[in-house]
Formats: sequence, C-alpha cells, structure tokens
Amino acid sequence: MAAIPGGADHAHDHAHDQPSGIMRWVTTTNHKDIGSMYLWFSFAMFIVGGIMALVIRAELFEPGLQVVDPDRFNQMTTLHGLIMVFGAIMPAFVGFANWMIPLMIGASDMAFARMNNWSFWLLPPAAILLSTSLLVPGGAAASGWTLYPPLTVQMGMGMDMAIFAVHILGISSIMGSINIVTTILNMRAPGMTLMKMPLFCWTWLITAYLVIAVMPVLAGAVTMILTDRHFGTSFFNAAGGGDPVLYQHIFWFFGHPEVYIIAIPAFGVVSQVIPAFSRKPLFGYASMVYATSSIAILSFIVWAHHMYTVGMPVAGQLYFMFATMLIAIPTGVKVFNWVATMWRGSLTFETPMLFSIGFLFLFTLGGFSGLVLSMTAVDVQLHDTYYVVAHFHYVMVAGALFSAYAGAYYWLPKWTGHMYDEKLGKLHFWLSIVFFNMTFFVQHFLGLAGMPRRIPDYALQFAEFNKISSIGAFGFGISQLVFLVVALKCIRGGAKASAKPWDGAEGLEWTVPSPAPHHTFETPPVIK
Amino acid sequence: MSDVSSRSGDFSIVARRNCSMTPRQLWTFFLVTAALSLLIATAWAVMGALWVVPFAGLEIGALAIAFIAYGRRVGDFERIQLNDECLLVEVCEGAQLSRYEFVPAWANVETCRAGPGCEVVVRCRDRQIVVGRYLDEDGRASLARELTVRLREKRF
Repeated sequence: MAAIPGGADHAHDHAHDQPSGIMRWVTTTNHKDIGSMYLWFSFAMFIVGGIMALVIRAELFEPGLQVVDPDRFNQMTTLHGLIMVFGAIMPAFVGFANWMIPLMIGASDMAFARMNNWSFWLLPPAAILLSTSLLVPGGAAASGWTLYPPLTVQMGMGMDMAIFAVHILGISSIMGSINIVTTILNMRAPGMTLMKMPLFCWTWLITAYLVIAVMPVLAGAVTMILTDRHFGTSFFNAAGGGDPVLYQHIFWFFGHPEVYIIAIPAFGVVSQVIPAFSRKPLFGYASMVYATSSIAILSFIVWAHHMYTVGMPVAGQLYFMFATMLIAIPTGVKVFNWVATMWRGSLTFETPMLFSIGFLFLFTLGGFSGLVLSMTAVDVQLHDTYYVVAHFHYVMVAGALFSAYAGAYYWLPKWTGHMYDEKLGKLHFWLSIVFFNMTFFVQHFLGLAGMPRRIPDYALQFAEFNKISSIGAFGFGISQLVFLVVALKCIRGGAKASAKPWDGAEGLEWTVPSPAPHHTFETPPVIK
Repeated sequence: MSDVSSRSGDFSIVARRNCSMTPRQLWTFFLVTAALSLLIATAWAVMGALWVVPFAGLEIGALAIAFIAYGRRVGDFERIQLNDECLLVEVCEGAQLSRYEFVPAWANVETCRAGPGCEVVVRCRDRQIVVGRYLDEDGRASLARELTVRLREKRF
C-alpha cells in the first residue's frame, strides 16, 4: 500500500506549490488572493465609475451644454450607476467576505475554492463589456441604471452589451453567494454557533440569502427586454400589447433588496469596527441580528415606493408607504446599538473609527431623507428630482463606501502586515467627508427647488448649488486617490503590524499573524 | 472532531470532518430558500414575467448541487483501530471507503514536522499512510504519542 494521494495536502503550507507571476492570480483558489483581487477590481471600477461621475458634474457645472452631448450624458449616468452598483460596491464587499469570513469563522478557505476563482474572473469581462459599450455605434445604454422600457427596447447594441454584462455580473453574484452561504453554514469552527458568529458573517449570510432570492428576478427582467428587442416578444413593449409598468415592478422587486445587498454588509463592517475602537463588546448583538434580518425581510415588500408616480391605487400607495416606514424601526435599533456601543467606551479615533462614525452620521441622514421620500404625497413632488439623487448617495456613498473604507483601514494591517499611514488616512477621511457633503448636501436643496435628475442642462436658478456640487465632486474624486497612496504605501512597507494591532479588536482573525499566512486554520480552532 | 475509546490495551479513534450543520438542518435551509425563490418566480410568472421561472430553477439547481457536493463530504471520517492482531485505518471520503491494515508489531509512527502543519505518518515496511487529517495540531501530536505507546506495548 502506498501513501494516500493527497492525504496530507491540507496539512502543510503549500504556498510553494503555487504558480508565480500572473498565473498565480489567474489560477488561484486561495480566498485571500481572491479577496485581494475583488478589492483591487472594485477600486479600479470605482475610479472608472468616478470618472463618469466627474464627466456628469463637469457638464452640470454651469447651465448649457459644455462637455458632452445629451445622449452621451445619459450614457454616463447609466454606466455610472451600473458600474458603481455592480462593479464597485458589490465586489468590494464580496472582497471583504472572501478575505475575512474564513478567518472569522476559523475555516481554511471558502467551501468551493475553484468556483470562487470563477466568480471573480467573470467580473472583468462584464466590466469590459459595460465600459466598451461607449465605443459601439449608438453608444452605451442610456436609459438609467434601472434599464426601463420602452427606452431599452429601442436602443442600439450598447443595450445588448449592458444586458449581457448584467447577466454575467448576476451569475458571479449568485456563485459568490452560494459559496458564502455554504461556507458560513458548514465550516464554522467547532463551538462557533450561529449566535456566536461575528456580526460581519451574519450580515453576509443575510445578504447572500437576499442575492439568491432576487437575482433570478433581475435576470428574468433583462432577458425579457432582450427577447422584446430581438425575438419578437412583447413583455414590456406597449406597441405589441406589453406592459412597461410590469418591468418597473419586476426591476424594483430586485432593486430595493439590492439597496440592502449593498448596505447590510456595510452594517457588518461597522459592527466590527465600532466595538474595537470603543473597547466594548457590541451592544445588543442578538437585536442586531434580528434587526438585520427584519430589514432584509421588509426589503421584499416595499419595492413600489419607487413607483408612486407611475400610478397605483390609493390602498397600494398607503400600503407601500407604511411598509417602507416600518424599515425605520429595525434600522433605528441598529443605529441605537452602535451609539450605545460607543456610550462610555474608551473611544479612540483612528481612521477606521472616523469612517465608521462618518458612516453612522451620514447614513442616518440618508435614512431620514428616505423616510421623507417614503411618504407618497411628498414623493410625488420629489420623485425624479435631485432630492432623490442626494438621498441615495447618502445611503450608497456615505453608507456603503465609508463603511468599505472603514473596513479597509481596519483590516489593512492584517492583509499587508504593515500599519498604514495614520496621518494620510485621517486626511483621506476629512477630505472625503467635507467634499462628500459639499457635493450631495446641496442636492437636497436642488431637489426641493424642483431640479429634475438625468438632465444635462438646467434653468439658471439652479446654477449656484450645481457649481458647489461640482466643485465638491471633483474634490471628493481627487481625495479618493489619497486612499490609493495609503494602500500602496502600506503594501510596500511601514511599521510592522502585530497579530492584533487594535487592542480592542476581538475575533479569530486577530489570532493569526499579520500578514495572514497563505493558509490559515487548516484544522479548525475550537471555540470555548 | 474525534471520539476516542480505549479498553484493555485496544485503542480506537474516529475523527470526522468539521461540519457545523447537520444534513437535516442544511436541507431545511435549502427547502426554505427553494420555496421562497420558487414562490417569487411563480408570482411573477402569474403576472406575465415568465422568464423569472427558469432563472430561479437554474439557481436553485446550482444551490442544490453545491449543498450535495458539500454534503457528500459531511460523512467523511477516519477511523484508527488497534488490537492485538491488526492496526486498521479506515478512510471514508465521499462515497469511497478505503481500509488499510498493518501488522502492529511492524508498524511505527512518525511525525514529520513539529508545530503548524505537522503530519502523523504510520509506516510499515515500504508502506505508509498519513493519519489525523481531521485533527488539530494538538490532536495530531497526542495521536502520535498515543499510537507510539500502544504499538510499543503490542511489540512486547
């Protein structure tokens, strides 16, 4: 009898077996490598989507048409939305999940390591499809990220490219979610019950469940657009007896949970960071789990608050209004718990904590403007105005992006083995929060004054606030490059990070050395 | 995770792959997910959005395959039994059960490395097998110690 082939292949560090150079990254099945690739990819797409935002803001700097023609402007708003949602924010949190979930639950890797590699490598072709659709005849999709018919039924091949890209991104998300669900459910270290899991893992379990529930709805919707465009069906084409409003219902049945697919992992990151820098356990752990689950469940039943102006019975308006307002209750529980965690804690304000507090403050503001918009009578006035743009950027940028930065600064020492430059990190935060508010706070006033969104030109009365917003946007865009400098500096060197560089941090990820070795927890630790 | 029994000189250990959910719990989770997804798809199909159904079906199929693929590993185990006649190592991986028998008097145990990534190898003449794959470092070290002592006892 010979040795069992592969009998010990999990029992030693086989980093030396890895291909080197580019092939390491193409073929890797290591969760840390794949997590890093997700994070770099999302940052690259954040820059691409950000440049599109700057084109939009350059055009809106003053009334009249200066930079791009109206059609190109619409293409920019569409691609900016699609790239930021599907290419930047979602992959960023999948990157965090890949890096941190196995470390947090004491697993050696994700459940399906090869599928994990495929999930990532589906993203670049989708990103290329979306970005290069600008170059094809007729240009990119120009319908807004919601891809509403009848516009989408009429557009050129850029629309087909967008549909194909959405399909690919959806497949990637589903594969990633199946992997995360299987990993969290099956591979927790002995003794780590569900209610002992770090909250970041809980938020990702709930998010993955949401993705699994709603992604087929999006895939079905864009496929029906495709068949309306090319195969003679009339699902949404009114000319053939179809119903464009049906698409809006389907899209927002996906689209509203999508907001929470982005926000819930952000809650998870902040729930790790705030206790660490408050030097206290998270206040109300169980209530956080239940509140997050409640938000996820409620997200399925509020979709039509995006459609008050489309036309719906009063009973429907009332139902969606009150159901939407209900979300404020579990969200309030979460905000209360974060504040209560900080209450009488030994607070220090390193960059991750600053971004978390920034998140807390600005996300709450975004939540309040969401409550305003939930009221049908008010929303009918504010629908499709810059008030809505301001609202969702407070949720998406201040919510998701600030939280992602909090997580990145928090875990950079674990990823790189070096401490980041705290001064530059703080500079990044202060520039970001000042320019973010400069960009988006004034948009509330623009919306209240009646400026519609998705227009390249506007009346003179909106000029001042648009100028302020555009200057803020360029400042915000440039200040994001500070993070690139911080990250590159941290990777190249800096003060050596200990296994647990934050004295208040808790969790299994801080029991392994910094940087985390290529292979960790090959045999699971036992949680007492 | 391991169960150890030791009686009148005989020794037995069964170590299993770590799995934090029982197959029953996993299938309950799957059924709830599948039911929700198919309910949503059916509702949209009734409203006229037929294309949601095949995508929901594909996705639930993928989830089922993933759970089955992982579930096949849940039953993996490694059993080491030592008595006067035989040192028996049974390794179950998926549907495959392999049995390896050694003569106790001729077998010995070696640890290849100390610390992280240590391996326990049972050797018998030109044959060898790595054991303790589901044990942590401390478990492997104690398995190696225990087996060494027991095999020595069988030798004399």
